[in-house]
Amino acid sequence: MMLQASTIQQHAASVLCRCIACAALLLSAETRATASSLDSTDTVVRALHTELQRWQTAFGAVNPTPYFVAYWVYDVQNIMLSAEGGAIETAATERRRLLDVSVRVGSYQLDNTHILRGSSGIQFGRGQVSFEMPFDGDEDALRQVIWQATDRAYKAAVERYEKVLTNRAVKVREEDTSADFTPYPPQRYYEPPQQLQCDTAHWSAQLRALSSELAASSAVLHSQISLAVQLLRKYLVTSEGTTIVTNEPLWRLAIVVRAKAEDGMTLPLYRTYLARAEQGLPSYDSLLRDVRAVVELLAQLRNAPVLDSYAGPAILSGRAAGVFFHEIFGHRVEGHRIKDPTSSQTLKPFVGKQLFPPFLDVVFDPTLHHYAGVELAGSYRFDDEGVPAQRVVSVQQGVFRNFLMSRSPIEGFPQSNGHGRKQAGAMPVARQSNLIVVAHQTVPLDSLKAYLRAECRRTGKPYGLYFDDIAGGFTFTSRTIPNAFTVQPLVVYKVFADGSPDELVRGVDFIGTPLATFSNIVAASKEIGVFNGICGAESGNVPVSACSPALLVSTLEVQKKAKSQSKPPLLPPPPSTVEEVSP
Amino acid sequence: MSGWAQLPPWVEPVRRAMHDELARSMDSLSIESLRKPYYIEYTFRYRWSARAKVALGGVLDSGQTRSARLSVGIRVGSPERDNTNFFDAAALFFGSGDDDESFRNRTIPRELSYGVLRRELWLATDAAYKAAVEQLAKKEAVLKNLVQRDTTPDFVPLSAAALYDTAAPIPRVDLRQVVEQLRQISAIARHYPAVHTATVTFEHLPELVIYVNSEGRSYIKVHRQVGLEIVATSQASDGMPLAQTYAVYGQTVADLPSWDSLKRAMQHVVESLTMQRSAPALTEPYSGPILFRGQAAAELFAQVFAPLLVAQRSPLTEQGVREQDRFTALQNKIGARVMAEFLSVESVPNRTQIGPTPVAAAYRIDDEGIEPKPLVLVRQGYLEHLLSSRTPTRRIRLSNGRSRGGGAMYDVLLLRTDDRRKQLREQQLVERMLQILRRRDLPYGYIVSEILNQNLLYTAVYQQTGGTFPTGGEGQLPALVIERIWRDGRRERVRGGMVVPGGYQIFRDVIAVGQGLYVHNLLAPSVISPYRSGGAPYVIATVATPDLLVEDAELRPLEDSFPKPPLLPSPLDHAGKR
Repeated sequence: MMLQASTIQQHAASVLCRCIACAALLLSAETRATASSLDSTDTVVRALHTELQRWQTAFGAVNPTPYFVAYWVYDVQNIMLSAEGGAIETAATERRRLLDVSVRVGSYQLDNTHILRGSSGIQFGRGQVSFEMPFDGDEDALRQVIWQATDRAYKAAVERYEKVLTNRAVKVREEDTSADFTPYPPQRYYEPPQQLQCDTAHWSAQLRALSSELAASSAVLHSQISLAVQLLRKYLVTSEGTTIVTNEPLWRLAIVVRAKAEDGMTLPLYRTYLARAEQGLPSYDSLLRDVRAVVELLAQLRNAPVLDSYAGPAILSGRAAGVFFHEIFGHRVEGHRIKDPTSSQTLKPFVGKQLFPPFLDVVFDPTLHHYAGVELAGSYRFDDEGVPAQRVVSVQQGVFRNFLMSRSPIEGFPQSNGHGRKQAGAMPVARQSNLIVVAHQTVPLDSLKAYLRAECRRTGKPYGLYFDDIAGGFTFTSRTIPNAFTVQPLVVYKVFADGSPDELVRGVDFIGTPLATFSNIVAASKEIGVFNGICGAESGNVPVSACSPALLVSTLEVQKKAKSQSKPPLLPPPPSTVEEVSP
Repeated sequence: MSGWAQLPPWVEPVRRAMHDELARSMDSLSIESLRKPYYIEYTFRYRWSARAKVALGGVLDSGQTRSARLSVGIRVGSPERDNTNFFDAAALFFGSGDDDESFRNRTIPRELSYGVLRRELWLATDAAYKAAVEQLAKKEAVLKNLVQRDTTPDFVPLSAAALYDTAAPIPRVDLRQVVEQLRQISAIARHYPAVHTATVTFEHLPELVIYVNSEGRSYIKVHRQVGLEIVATSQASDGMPLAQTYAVYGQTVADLPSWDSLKRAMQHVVESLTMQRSAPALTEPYSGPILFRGQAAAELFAQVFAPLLVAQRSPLTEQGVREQDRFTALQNKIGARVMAEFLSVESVPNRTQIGPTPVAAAYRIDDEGIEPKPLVLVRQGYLEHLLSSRTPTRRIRLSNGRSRGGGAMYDVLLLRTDDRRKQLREQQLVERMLQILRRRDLPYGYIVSEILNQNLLYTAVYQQTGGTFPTGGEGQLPALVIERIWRDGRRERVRGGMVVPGGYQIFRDVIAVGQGLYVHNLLAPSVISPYRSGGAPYVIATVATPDLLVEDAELRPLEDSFPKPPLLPSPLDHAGKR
């Protein structure tokens, strides 16, 4: 475990030493290495190139002249299966091919994507919408859609550019005067198509069996187990000469159970598994063990006492700390926010300054595929702006160093570091990848608990808290509201100062403000937790990971969570008979 | 096509589970001192859906799914006053504020067993009962401060009955074969470079419905529905967004026209769109005689008159009685003249065919388990009846079996006349129109042959034109095929006209009709708002109408600004490329 952490740390340090110019040279070398593999028989690539060429010629004669055009095609194949109570609830397959177009008019320095300040930024009926493309159509059928989409994108760009020019003239000088976009050397990379293969009969049988096990417990009011298999084939073609075609398979398995306590509180528990290939998912026996464990935990949780408001020392488990960092720190280092005049830009003044205790590094590494023995969700080869994925050391020995950058530069950070990401239907902005918290000084988790007990005794608290699992959280980054965060734990234990056995409790969220909480981290465990998930923000949903050791925080505040006022069911469950008659 | 000769084997355990949980709930469901349910109904729907969407020979979407859904209806209080007919806006928009179970259109496992269904019914019934009890309390609280003038009961109990409409098999479809045909149909548009988008959409939605209620009324029925829609769009050189559509609906694929016939329909759509593109735009408002032919007459009737034939009840709200403002013009007009005296309207939901055309909206049992009978709604211009569900209204207490898609809805309507003097051949209708033009010294009149259907407008045309298609204002109907006819009989195609009917009164101005009937199957917007009913936004309906010559109607030009035409010709425009 420590070896892996050290490896990360060394690698991270080496990335930090690279200068931007060197990085660009390395990228050019990669370009040459992969150029020959581009498949000229790919209909989608051909259609994109042909239409791009036609439009580039046409754009030469219009005013304003576009200086950049990008096409993204998302060819998505999905297989979805879910089971409840031993029966298949849904079984569906779908395939869609979607086109997004970006046309930039003006110049790299100032273009139509520039932030509009005030109410000019509100545009009714001009939201980005993907265009449906035939997934088996010939070149002409594809080109017809590309033609229409480009025409609409250009007109929308012209309209917005006019607004940008006026908006700039009537508003005060901007705090950050960096360019709207940066050029990037052309990239050429091509992966041949893959087949989506899933034995749905086999998986249906497994899901039925596992969901029967879930439903067998009287504590469980609701349960579902689902498998979502996706093969996303992504195309990016730009007027700079970039053509990138990649395959992104993703297998997601989720167990969801829900109970209701007598006081009305809804108690959910989740287990999610994510892998790039079927072999990366747990075995049936392993899943069965998890199902049984989660049901047992839910039964305990249903009868657990409710915790009142509290402020004192606490431990965040590795997974909980990972999510905490993703929500509270990660979203604040997404570079585009620093340009947004409505954003609080919390970390802007901290570049080069101590933000965390010196024993912590925070790294974002989309080039890493596994960490602590777990496959990571936030890995990719190129970001959605055609920039190769790069490891970014954001915090080194507690000092804040780097923002995550797309091709929209900010003051002091003129280049992308390969984190411009998006979902179909959105435009790329800087987003997180695989977040890794690296601690240079660690202790076993048991020792961390001992520290917690000692801290409780020192501060006169009868107990501290251990946040074992967490559902997610949210944070506000706007200037108009307090920059607080809320994290929603699922499993919390009281850890008593006197060494009494830990007690499971329920009913609290932990809250705080980022800077104060960062400075309260005092120790970390050897054990690493990995959280894989899908992060939703301005540019849509993207897969991410968050990895961290467990962290001891000297003071953390919890508040009562929102609670359902609805009673549990009035009647007992109906008598069940085993009589499977399926259509 | 092959069908199932019998019902699936799970029907019996499903029905037994519904009966058993209903009996347990009626017997035991209660909260402390609050009232128990006096009525419970369960509706179970199992759907085998197949869909495909194709453009220019390529597939945009295609798939088959099976799904099961459950809806629970509970009444607490008494038939005189219960929790229904109360519009609880807060509950509608925000729910109860809790994480309650869903009880309307609840998705349940598609693999069915007695045990699985009992559990789903238990959770949904519990949630429905809690909501009903709260809603009754809110309603009674409001009534404490009101002098109630309308004493119409909330419900009228009925006797037990067991109904079946399962003689016809549950149809299945070979989606691969359908997709192959759709490819060929859609590929026709490739030869028309004026066409910007052209999609062909197919949906096949057979459904098995099982219903039980605490009165002992139950039914099992097979609801069958299939549709094929062609939507093509373009833009004129002045930027005006243009559309041309064709839609057919039926109960089974056999009800649809042959594939060859559908290819001809596609050809007609793209040719008509191309003609529309080069036609002059309507520039002046027009008021005078208009001849509505075929589809246009049927759409005019479906959009303007048919929804008014549905009985409606203004619900009580927390602010008192909230008057409905949609489709209520005829609620108090029973006995009054509402259209020309030579016209009558009949509702014939049992008719499965009108002339050679299959009727998509035909049914034998409505959603509340009532068998509808044919009704004359308008007799020689005078309103006699309205179509009703089990929601009593001031004028109509009992259901006449017209509950579909969540509330009362019009079904299969025939607009006809027995007065042969008013039935004219097409040439005679045109001649009659020319006489009026001469009498009124108007240089020209209009013949409208196609009006845009609302479902196609909002689900396809609007999207395919990037939201730029001009919809006019409230009560305006975009006309897609318009001919200007000069007094000397010359005709020319024009584009960009909106029919402004000005309410149902336009049907009082009908002075003559054609001799045949145009049978128009359509997806019509629900008359009872789905926000209130929790039902479907569009419901299948059939109207059969003759051509209609209206003495005085309005046609307005589009006054909107249009988006500029594309900078480049379509890649399909090989001539343009040269």
